Amino acid sequence: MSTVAQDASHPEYLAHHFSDIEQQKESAKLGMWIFLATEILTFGGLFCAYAVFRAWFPEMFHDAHKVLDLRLGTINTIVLIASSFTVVYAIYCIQRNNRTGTVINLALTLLFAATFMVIKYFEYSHKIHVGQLPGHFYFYDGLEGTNPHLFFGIYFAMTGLHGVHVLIGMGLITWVMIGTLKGRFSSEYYVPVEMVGLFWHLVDMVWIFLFPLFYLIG
Amino acid sequence: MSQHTHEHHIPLWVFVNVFLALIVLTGITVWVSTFDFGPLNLVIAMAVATVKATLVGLFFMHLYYDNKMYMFVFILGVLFVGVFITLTMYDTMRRGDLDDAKAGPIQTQAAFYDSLDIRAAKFGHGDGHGTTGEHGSTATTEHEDTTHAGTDAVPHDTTIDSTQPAGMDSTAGHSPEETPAEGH
Amino acid sequence: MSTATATFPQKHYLNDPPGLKSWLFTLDHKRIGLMYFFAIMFFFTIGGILAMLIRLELLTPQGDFFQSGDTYNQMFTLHGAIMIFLFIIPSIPAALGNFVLPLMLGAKDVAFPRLNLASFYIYVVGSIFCIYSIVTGAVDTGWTFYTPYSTSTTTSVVSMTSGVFVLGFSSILTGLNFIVTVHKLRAPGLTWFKLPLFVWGLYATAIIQILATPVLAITLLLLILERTLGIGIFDPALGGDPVLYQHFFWFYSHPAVYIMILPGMGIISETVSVFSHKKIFGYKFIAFSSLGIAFVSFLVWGHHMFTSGQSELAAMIFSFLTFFVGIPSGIKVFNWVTTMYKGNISLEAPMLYTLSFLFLFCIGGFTGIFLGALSVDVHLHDTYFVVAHFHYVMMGGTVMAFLAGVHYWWPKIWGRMYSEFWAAIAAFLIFVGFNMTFFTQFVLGSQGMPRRYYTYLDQYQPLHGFSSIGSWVLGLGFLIMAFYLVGSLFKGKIAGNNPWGALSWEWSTTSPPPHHNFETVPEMTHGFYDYDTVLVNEHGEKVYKEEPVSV
Repeated sequence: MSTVAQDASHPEYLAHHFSDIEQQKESAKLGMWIFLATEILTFGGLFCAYAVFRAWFPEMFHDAHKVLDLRLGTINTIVLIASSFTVVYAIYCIQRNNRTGTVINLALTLLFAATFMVIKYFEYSHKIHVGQLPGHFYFYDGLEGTNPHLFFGIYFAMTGLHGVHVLIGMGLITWVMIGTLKGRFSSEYYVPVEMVGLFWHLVDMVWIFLFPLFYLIG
Repeated sequence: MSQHTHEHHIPLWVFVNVFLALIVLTGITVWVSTFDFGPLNLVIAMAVATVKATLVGLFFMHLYYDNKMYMFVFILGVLFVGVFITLTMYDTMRRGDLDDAKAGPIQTQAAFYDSLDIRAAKFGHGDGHGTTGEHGSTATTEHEDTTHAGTDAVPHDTTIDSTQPAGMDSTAGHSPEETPAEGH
Repeated sequence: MSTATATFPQKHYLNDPPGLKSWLFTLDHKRIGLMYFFAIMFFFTIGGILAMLIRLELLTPQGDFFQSGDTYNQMFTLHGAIMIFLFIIPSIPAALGNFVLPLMLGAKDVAFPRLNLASFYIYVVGSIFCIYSIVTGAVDTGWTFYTPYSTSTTTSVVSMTSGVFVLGFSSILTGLNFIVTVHKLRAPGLTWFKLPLFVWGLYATAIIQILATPVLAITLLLLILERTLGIGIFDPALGGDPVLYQHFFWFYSHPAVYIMILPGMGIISETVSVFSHKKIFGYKFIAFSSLGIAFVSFLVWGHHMFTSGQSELAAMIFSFLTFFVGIPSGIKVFNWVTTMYKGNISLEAPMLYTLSFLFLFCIGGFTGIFLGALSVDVHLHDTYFVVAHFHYVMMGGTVMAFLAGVHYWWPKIWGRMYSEFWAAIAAFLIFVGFNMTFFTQFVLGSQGMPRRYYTYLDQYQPLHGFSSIGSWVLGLGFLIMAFYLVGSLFKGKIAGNNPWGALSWEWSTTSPPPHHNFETVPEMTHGFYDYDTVLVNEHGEKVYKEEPVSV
């Protein structure tokens, strides 16, 4: 957009094809929400697979969920809720031009996210070790029901996709944290922080459903 | 600042309360799951999760304060997930004839448990290729009439791509018209 | 109607800023649309050549130059996959829509120009995956990748599905961009019910792209996991269910059919009014029927699965719901025909394709009703009747509308006119060739010729032969079109701002438009379909009449 003569009243973060910052902000938000709708549909496909197989094999799901570690699952739930809160706090701070508060809260969010991933790593490596694995990799002999490998197939698909989202979210949070440190954001302009926050809340929201569906079956 | 930026006025205590509510609800749902209410367990767990997600959406994601268009987009996404699951389960839970509908997949027990000794697999996977021949040949005999050879050209040899899991060999000889249907 | 004093602008989006690099990194929606156009036409050519090869093989009952059915399977799979994922789905929205949408809204660009460029390059990456798959042995599953065959075949399914997976993101980004653009970037005074109907078509399309494409992504991801890890959700040998795969696949792919046709219907709504020189009839009905089609499209996917082993109850429900698609489609057709009634119709190339569309889409739509009827479909399933039906809708519908759009906006895109004479000849050949090729297939299908076979019984030879000859006529038509369109870039008459006398905003700027679309933000001085009160004279000036012209 270098060819556009910059109007003095146009701040540099206002793209040339928007008439004012309010229009740009609302466009970004609407775009983000539409993107979140696509995320819901993406996970929705997996939730459908879950619903179908759980309805077919209720006993197997009931038996298989007992090998998951409820303690670790609960800790992870609380960790993610806390990380969602720190993101909200970060936006609260940037709205009041408190950049230090924003950076601290974003750093805390990263810390929580990392904790979540470390716990997930321990859960995964345990399952890989004892053979609670999808499809033909399955070799765990502690479960009797029909097709328990399907439970772990869906478990790994859903938590795996969720984990990928956590990693992407961590990258995005790092990005806005660096941006805040460089002074790119202020109470006048913090759209990227807000967008990343929305993404992070969605990741949290998905986990809010994954947790009871895998760890709390009856 | 215009009235659009009124989320500036959301005080911190709102977020703190929501955070505490989420923690309490997590505790409740874990505690309830230790009792056995039969099918009600799922209902309670989903209800609690829905309340939690609603709190996150309304307050953490500002849906309560923002343009209602965003809420509409969000609900639309959830609604179509609902359509997807509901109509799919109209099939999967009522397989078969109208008067004899039952729930279940095409094949209830995975063939893979027959062909693969689970315990042996612990010590390096058993070679599952041995069982393919018979499956492959039954598939071929149904299509001896090779005048319509278009789909008959599907590989009948039992050489399997090395990336294939051993448990899949039983389907190797199938030709497309044996798969239940083709799309429009 | 071309203007008498047409001049070619000195600086326009094609040469300002100059240089290859400015094209590759452009954020200008017009350039991105044009790059999409060339990429799409490249794949249309490849898909077309594959189709010609398929028809050539089917000229005689025995196998001729394909040594085995394997090759034939790969040919029809590639034809289908390329035409659907690389051509039709991006064709109208990403190429023409990208170019026209901001112009129609009086905006400088789409809402997220960087995402727009990213969408194009994601498309390129996806197409490279697909080409890689072709080079490493192609795919022989059919474009639907049905399990369990797709999890057991030795052909390169993973690279093809990865390609389609990536292409899905490109489609989502385009849809997202368009929705936000329509919501937020309309010029002052341009309210929802003043929007051109092409915008409504694109908007409804974008909704489907947003809500359906993610499910395709997850389906293909699960299919890739099935092949690489064997997670077993779709594989009966592992306790999974192949019919579930079909639910997943068609939850995207049935709405995708409307991703293909809705923008086409939008184009027809424009051209039918412009070339009848008459106000569009039933504006709101056309606008809302687009949304109606988008909504109903999500409720009918099971009609692809009537013989798949899904439950009888589900089949009945899906069959019942399918008939609802006919209502909004019928509303549109009636409104278009009523718009033409007593209009002053000029048969220029876009109108020729519009008329082709109306005729062919009606046949395609009605046969769709046959196939949506449960009992009839059980008989016709997997026959050439189905092949003919979807070619009538996709090619007779979408491609005809695409060609109407290309001919309608060509002068705007390039600033030059093509030869009307050769355009008429090509349109005639395409219409005749298309019907020769595909109408025979309705007959073949009802006689029991199954699809996807490279040899057939002798009794089908006359019709198959006629169909193959038709494909050559069709191919000749496209060849002529390629020549006169390319020729017009060098020798074409200068078009002027408004060669058709149309009233929507893209015609009020220069042809080709300047980098920023408009010198001044356009103003709402009349409706875009007010052909009864506004007349564009041969100098491109608008003459307002006091009284509506009685028609």
